[in-house]
Amino acid sequence: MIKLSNISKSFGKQTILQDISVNIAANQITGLIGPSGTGKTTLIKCLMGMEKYDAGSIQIDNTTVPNRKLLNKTGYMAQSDSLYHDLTGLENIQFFAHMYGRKISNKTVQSTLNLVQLEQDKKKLVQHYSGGMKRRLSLAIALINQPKYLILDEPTVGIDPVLKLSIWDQLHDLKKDSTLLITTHIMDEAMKCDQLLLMKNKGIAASGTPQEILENFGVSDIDQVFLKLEEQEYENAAAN
Amino acid sequence: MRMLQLIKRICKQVLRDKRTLALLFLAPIFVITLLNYIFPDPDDEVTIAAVNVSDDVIDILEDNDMIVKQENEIDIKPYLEDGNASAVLEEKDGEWTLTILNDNPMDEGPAIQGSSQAVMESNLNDLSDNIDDMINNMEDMSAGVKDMMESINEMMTQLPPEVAQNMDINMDMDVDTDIDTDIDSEIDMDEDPITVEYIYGDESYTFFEILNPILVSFFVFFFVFLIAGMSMLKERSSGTLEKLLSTPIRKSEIVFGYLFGYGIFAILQTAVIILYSVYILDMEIAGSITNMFIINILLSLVALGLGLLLSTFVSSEFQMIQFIPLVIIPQIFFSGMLNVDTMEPWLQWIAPIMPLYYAGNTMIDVVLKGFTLGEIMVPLSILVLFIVVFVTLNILGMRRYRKV
Ligand SMILES: Nc1ncnc2c1ncn2[C@@H]1O[C@H](COP(=O)(O)OP(=O)(O)OP(=O)(O)O)[C@@H](O)[C@H]1O
Ligand SMILES: [Mg+2]
Repeated sequence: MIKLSNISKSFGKQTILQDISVNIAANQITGLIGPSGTGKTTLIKCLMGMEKYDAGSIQIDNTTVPNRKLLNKTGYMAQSDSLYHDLTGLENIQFFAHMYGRKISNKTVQSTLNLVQLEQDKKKLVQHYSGGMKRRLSLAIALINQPKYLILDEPTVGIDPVLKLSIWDQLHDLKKDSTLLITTHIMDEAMKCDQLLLMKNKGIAASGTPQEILENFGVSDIDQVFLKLEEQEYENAAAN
Repeated sequence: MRMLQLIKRICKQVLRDKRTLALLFLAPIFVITLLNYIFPDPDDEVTIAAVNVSDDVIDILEDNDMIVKQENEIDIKPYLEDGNASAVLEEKDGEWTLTILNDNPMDEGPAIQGSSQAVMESNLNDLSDNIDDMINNMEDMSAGVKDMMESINEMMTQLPPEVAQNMDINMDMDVDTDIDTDIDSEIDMDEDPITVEYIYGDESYTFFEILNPILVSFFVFFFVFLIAGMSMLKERSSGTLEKLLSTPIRKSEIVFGYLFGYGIFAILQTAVIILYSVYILDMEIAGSITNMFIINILLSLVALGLGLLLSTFVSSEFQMIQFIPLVIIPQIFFSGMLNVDTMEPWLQWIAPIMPLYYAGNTMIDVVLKGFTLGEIMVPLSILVLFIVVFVTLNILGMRRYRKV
């Protein structure tokens, strides 16, 4: 279980996260959605120990972040592709597999590559990969250590609809052993999550299952939730 | 072993990058070879035209391996421009004039040096001849005085004793004069008025001979610095450093992986440069080649550490290049090419913070003066200290990307 208590984070004078407290349920897919620039990536980097949060505490399995050992059971996919372009796909995934210390079998590497349908192109240099292929390879690398916590920052950008569906099926299969946190801007993907966290104005504006959120706001899709939130804000400002 | 895997990955990447390989191995060889031929061979002969110059000066010039053309009336400017000689030496009423075209500083040195030496030598020869004459005269004179004294002595024996006692002192003085003249005439005027003796080596060093060992170190430093910095920058800007730090790898494992991964190539590069300089370009080394290796391998690790460190302060390749005039070029001046002891005091304070100051000067000590390992222990330890400091700073610097 991931537990955030009173997290605040600012870059210089700009406050990005303010007093966020939320629990991310185990063995569920939690979707983190919100307008561009609200701080989703920042929140994830705090979870990974890559950014220092200014106040509050983050606990994963009762261990306080940052902690290097925690990274053993975490898989991370950054918003931008982080691959060695002068290595092949296979070399990339093998290299990162070795970084987890314990032996990761060739079979695991192969099945992970199969999952993202890169088996055919594994011997190609990454610089000759298409955008979607790079995204898939990054996803495969995030999965390689069969992590207990899987944190994916916009994993399906540039992936075609058919493959996207199969990837979502795989992600739901992973729930058996893992807890997933996924950011996305695509609303039908958001609907596939078990839990949603709506980020707005430096904090979590709403949370719950997609159905709960839709009912609470009395709307038929998630996009309208954000419009409602804007309206509420506007009314509050007018009332003051 | 995560570090081994990191090293393996770096090797793979470098070996695939043909351009970096060329930069590492071919570029230094190219530049060193070029310099070897740009600087004139000290054994090359210089031609000097002599106008109105006495034979003994010409003899001396020729003794100094210069080709002397004796000319009478020539128009100096066109004569030199046509390439008849490198310089024209002329005497007029005891005034010596050396005319040089001055379009190539390389010819100038030997011509000026050779002719001024010749003129000086001939003047000294004249002088010593004069001194010899003078001494001869003095000896004649003192012989005369002696004769006189002897006759006085004889006379004195015939004088009454009281008078003779008063004369004693003068007699002593005479003896003194005698001894003095002897000593003076014993100073032998040799053929060579000045004998130059060298403490190290048996010839004066040409600029290139001093430059060569420094250059070896400079290239090791420069290319390793650049390649380490660039690759760390690439790792950072491509996001792979962040991805790497999302795995449980230790920050020190990354820094040491980089140090050893690129260290392998740095060592190979050092070996290629040294072996090429010594065996192909015939660089003479008084000390041991092993010591050269030790100095440069340590230096390359310093360069690696510094390159990695500075790459964390830049955000593009171009900004990395901007460090060259700031960090690399100034070090050349302190690397042994110029004498630090005679520099401004504040510059003397700067010198000890520069790794190339230690490496360059130690290379000169080993290559030209044949220093042993024991004698270069201090600069070597300082280089090790640099490595330790840079590695530590790099590990601390990684905190920017991950807090543990
Ligand atoms: N290192 C940094 N220094 C200064 N400001 C930063 C830094 N990183 C992020 N920010 C700022 O923090 C804010 C949130 O950025 P973040 O990347 O977390 O947004 P996001 O919600 O992930 O957006 P998107 O959906 O577009 O990916 C932005 O205004 C951004 O400019
Ligand atoms: Mg983002």
